[in-house]
Amino acid sequence: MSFIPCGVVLIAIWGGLCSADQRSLGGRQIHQPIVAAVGAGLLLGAPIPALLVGLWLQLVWPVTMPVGGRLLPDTGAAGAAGGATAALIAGPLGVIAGILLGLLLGFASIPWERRLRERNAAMEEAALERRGGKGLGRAVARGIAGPFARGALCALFAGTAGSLLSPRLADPVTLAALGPWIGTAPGSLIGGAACVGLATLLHRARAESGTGSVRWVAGGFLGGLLAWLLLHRGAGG
Amino acid sequence: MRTLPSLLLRGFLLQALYNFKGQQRGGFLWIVAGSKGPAGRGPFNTNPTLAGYAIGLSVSRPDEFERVRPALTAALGALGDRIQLGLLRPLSVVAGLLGAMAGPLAAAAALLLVYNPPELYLRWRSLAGGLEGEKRILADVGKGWIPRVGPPLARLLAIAIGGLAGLWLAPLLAAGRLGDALAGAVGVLLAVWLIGRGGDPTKVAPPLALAMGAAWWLLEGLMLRNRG
Repeated sequence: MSFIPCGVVLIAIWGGLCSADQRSLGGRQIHQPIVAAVGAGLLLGAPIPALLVGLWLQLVWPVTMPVGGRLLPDTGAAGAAGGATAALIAGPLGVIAGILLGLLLGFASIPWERRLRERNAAMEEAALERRGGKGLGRAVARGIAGPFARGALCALFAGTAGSLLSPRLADPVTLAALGPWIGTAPGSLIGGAACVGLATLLHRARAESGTGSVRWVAGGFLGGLLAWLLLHRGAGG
Repeated sequence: MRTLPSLLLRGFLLQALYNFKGQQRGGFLWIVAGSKGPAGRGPFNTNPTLAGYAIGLSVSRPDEFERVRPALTAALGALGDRIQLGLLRPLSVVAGLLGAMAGPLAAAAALLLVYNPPELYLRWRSLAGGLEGEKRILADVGKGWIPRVGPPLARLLAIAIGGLAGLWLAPLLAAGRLGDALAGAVGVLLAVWLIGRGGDPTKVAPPLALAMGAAWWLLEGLMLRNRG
């Protein structure tokens, strides 16, 4: 799908919302890469390649934890920008470009976040110095606008770059069409990230429920295998 | 005095002015602005989901809140981070990954639906508890229902992670795809190594995953060329 002006506005708003959601706008989880990328893909009419990018980025950043004031990558902006790129550039190249752009923006957003926090501190100080903290409402609004602008810019950049680099998609990308290459380049990238993502989640599960969690994970694993067998026997029969 | 729905809506913007100096102070003072007594201007930092206890108490009984402020925010931070960040969020991510097998919309919907209803309930319940006062907070947080949520959620998370691994590997095993099975075996070994190391594995995850993917891509390309 081409990057039409209406798409420009929509993708910028979506990118902005995803970025703001991560910290300043309530944390409804639209900043998780799967959701951010699929949203961008849906807006541009190609959600499946966007999902592949979202999956990969989700597995790289499975659960970002703001422990000890740690600065986190802006997964919302990264997911939206990566998803938009994959939706605009056809084939495996689009997915790989989306993954790389998402990673780049995610890591580049960390120093940007530091500057936003310094700006927040200055705005907060200025508002509190006024009698009765009257400027707090305006400072809060500007606190939301900062991450929103960051996400919107990232999504716009991805959309513009994607539309310049790629001609219109000749055919819509479907799950069946992805079959031949899902086991090659992007598929293996996702596979590699999947293992690492799972390791992080397993580590988290063990930390939360003690040594007993291994039993629960093993039980779930057997349940998963069984569920797949039952589903496919049902589909086959 | 602000009502519960108004405080609930304003509570979403608790972290809007987050910074290293006052932390959530700016958002907190904006939320409670217009209540009975002026809240203290020291730094404020707690878990946003359970912050309702602190916000509610600050609005209904400001003096009581200032007396218990440091202990309350620290306790809510520890408990809330464990439930929200440590359990509920990973569970929703696993739900999203499971949903991805059914398509893009299912992935996004599963993630959002597993996370949002319980999190919104926790927000509402904590705010209502905070407005009732210190006794209710102690009853909920001390030995009440909130600490009891953790163990079953942890078990559910462990089962979901195991199920996800099983559902991912089942088609590869059934199809006898040796290359992918080898990639999976490398992945499992890597996972075991990372779990054994503990700490924060995400520091090495992106470059490792990228290197694995790129190596696999090259290998498959060479194999395809040799076959051709």
